[in-house]
Amino acid sequence: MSVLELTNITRVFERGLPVLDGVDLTIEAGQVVGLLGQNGAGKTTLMRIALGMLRPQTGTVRVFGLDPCERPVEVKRRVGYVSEDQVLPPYLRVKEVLALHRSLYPSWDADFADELLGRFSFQGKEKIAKLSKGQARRVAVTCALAHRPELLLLDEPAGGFDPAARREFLETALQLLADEGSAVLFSSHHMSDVERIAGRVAVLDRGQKIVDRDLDELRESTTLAVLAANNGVVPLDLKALDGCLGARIVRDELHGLFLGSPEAVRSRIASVSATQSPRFAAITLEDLFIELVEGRR
Amino acid sequence: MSFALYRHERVVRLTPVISALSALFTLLVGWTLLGVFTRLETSNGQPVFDAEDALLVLLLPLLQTLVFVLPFLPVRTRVQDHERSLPVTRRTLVVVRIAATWTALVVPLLVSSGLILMRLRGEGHAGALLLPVANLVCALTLVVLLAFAWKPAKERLSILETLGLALVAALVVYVSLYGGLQGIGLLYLAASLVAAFVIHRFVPASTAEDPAADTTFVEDVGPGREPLLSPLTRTILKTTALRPFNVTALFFLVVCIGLIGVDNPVLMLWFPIALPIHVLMRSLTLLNGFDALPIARARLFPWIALPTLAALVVGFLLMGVFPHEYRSYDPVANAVELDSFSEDALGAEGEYSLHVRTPPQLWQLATTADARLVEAPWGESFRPLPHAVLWGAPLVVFNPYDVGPQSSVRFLTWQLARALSVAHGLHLTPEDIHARWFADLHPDTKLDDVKKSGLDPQPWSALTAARGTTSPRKFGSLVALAVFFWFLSTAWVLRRNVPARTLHLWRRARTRRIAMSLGLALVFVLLFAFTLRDDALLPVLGALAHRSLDLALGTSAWAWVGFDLVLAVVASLVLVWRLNRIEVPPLPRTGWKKCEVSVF
Amino acid sequence: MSAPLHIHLTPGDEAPLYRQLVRQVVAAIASGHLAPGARLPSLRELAKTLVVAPLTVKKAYDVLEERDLIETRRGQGTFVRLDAGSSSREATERLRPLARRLLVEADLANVDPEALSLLLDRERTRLREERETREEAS
Repeated sequence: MSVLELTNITRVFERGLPVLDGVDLTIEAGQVVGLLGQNGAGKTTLMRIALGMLRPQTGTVRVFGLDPCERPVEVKRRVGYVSEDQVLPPYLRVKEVLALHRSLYPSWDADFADELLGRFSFQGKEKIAKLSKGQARRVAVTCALAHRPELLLLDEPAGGFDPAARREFLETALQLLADEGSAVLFSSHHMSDVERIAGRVAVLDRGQKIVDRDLDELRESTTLAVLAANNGVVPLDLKALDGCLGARIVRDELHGLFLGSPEAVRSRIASVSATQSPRFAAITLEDLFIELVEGRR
Repeated sequence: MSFALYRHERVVRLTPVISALSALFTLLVGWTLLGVFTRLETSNGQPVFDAEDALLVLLLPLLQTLVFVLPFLPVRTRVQDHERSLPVTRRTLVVVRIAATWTALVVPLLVSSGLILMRLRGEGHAGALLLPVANLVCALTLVVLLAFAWKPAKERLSILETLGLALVAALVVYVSLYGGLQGIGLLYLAASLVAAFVIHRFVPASTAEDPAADTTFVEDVGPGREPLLSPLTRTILKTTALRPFNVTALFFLVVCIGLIGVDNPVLMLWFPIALPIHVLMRSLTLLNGFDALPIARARLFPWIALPTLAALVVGFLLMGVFPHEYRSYDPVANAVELDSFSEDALGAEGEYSLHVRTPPQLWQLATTADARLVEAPWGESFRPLPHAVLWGAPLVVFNPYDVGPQSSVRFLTWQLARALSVAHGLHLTPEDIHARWFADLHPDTKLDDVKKSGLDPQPWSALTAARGTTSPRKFGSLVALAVFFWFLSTAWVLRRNVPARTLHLWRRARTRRIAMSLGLALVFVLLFAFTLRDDALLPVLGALAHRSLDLALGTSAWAWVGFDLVLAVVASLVLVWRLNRIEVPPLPRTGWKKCEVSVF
Repeated sequence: MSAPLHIHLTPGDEAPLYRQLVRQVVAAIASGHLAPGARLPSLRELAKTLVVAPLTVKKAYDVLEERDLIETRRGQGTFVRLDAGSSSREATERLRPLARRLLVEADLANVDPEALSLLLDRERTRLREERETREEAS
């Protein structure tokens, strides 16, 4: 049984375009899936649907085999959720916030919570209202992790963290992952974080899932071909080619992102432009993401 | 600089929209209401107008201004966070906020008052209304000034302060409406002087926060100071039921229903429906903080929905304790009385047809004209005026103890004898009544020929006062009514947040919502225009429903308690089921309600 | 006790993390920092120190194992194979890109082939000396 199983999810808000359009996503126990996408691509909506906070118009959601809308309490007890816009009651002290969560989660691990608090250097007597944004987020993270959830939904968890805190957070999440074999779905704009902990990435673009692959496999199987622009080849020519993930013009260069080895890509490009021979560039994950998303415009 | 700030205040920018809404509202509701108040008296075609009702008409624009403006009003926030970085003094900010609030309150009020005055121009009452308008403007100015003079060193008011302020505001508005211009004028002058002094003296020029208030780490809390409630309960309470806005609104709900009553359709839609809807909508948005936590919605339900129910029940019970006096021209009364309309609002003498007014529970339902026929033993008969329940439908209610211009004095005494016996248990023969109070009239005289001015409407008051009315206290049905209104408003709010089940339906949701709102507005207007123009209808139907329920429940207090409880439980079960299916409305991140983003 | 590993991974690099890890372990074996028979840290230990997913480390170990550089002994841990240093055709193949890079760099820096071979000889001597002193110490 998969930990999370989203099938053909479509979600439309009252006004405007579908935020999600037929998205499938399955996460098995122990998997860490990085959810990438530009702002507004539907990442947050997908997470909220997975937690049963929103209902999809089509498709089914199964978390631990249960429908989170029908059995919200059972599902939420086994899930940890950190979101970008999470808020905590400002009039409570840190200890009280923990006590609040403790009373809601039967699997709460008080020792682990204390350890996390110590790691984030809290004493427990601080009022939430007096904490800085990053500090408050740490408390929220502690609350999401301390019940040792089987599924972690992290929506921009490290936004507002300083680099040291981000590293600390990653370490904690990894520890949980190693100890419990929890499944993690997390979205982040920090590609280096994604690289560190994600085994698989799913890329959302305008409500559709365009890529869902093993991260290393994706990186090693994609090739960026660079051609001179204004030389008879337009992005559309490249996009028509087999295995092309995206193509775009960057100043006077034409970038094409392909699945396949450089040799295979070279022969494919030769069919479009006999004169030009492409240059192949090694790219980082960040570049890969940008080429992927921008190249589809 | 400060004018630019003023211009960009949200409420100021919204003032044209709010004014337009107010104008529309006045045209729809206010004018219709005036139509009701100045309607032609059913039997003799003379206009009737009452100064107190005019005040009510005026209160209406005030009420709707408050309802339209309140959500946007920065009443509790003096200095917003982003404004601290602006190169202006705090004093400027506070003054700008006062000016903006005042504008947003007074401009729509003036617009709708102006419309009402225009409507009344030809009728000679306009002058009588100018004074209350002026008073209201004074009162609002005072309220705004007081709101901002209140502990100016603090950024936001606490719940207690907000409540106190609301009380003072209500008092001031009340005094300004019913008191003369002189008294309120002096009060206004004094208060504004004080407020101006306070602002000048105590609002610091610096926009920086007091460093002493910023202590991130607090000292050790002793064991004796541990809060009584668990953090979870405290958070739920503070998030839902104890929100300052909710507390204030619920307080208003209790006061408004309890003291003003809901005997006309405006008040009926306003207090028991619109106010709870406001409170509930906010509470639902605040659920965002709990949405990701494993708390069953059913567990939160009491905190979200029951406060409104409690406020409604208390309000309606208060209404039962302080029964609302029916207005002078109503065909219904609290006791049996003669209605001779000896004077109207402006004191002009005028003689009208004589009627016997009775408490609404004595009225009857009829479907045919024959059923309305009241026949005395000696053959004289009268067909009381019908009050249509639904426009076009044959169902009517009528007062079976009424008399007409063609009835004889003997018929009047016979009707009075019946009415007094049913309503007060006062058993007098018609002859007795004639001898006691109508001895100077010949029994066969037509009532049309009787001189009615100076007639005592309740000559039997000395006899009936000791007995009271046999009308039972309506607490049981009032609670049932409260549950009904609560169910209606809660169900409506929840309905809005249930997402459409299919894509297709969802796309149509917006169209449907607009259509629904238009439909509701239409129903509202129709209610006024056709059915509820008749003031007798609501009290009579209410009283009849209560009477039939009372018969069914055997007039037992316990039966009523059980009935109300069952009603409340069934309604709650339906609503909990509904609550489980909703999506928590998203927090507004940008736009109008930006300052409301804090969830807890 | 496993030998101290001086590994530093850089996310945001062109090579995936597991490739970086493989490259650095290979370099450590080649330079003698990891002697044949030395014990490697467990998956979880290494993942924790490097702050990467355990899966990434596992992938790297798998690759290393495939290349016959390390072996996993059931219940004992992962060790550098005793024959890890011995060259093979595959190893030459592996060195080809490095050699190419060296030549390109030398070309760019205007280092003529003689100077380059001199440089290589000098480095080789230094490496040998380092290895000897380490063996004496242990």
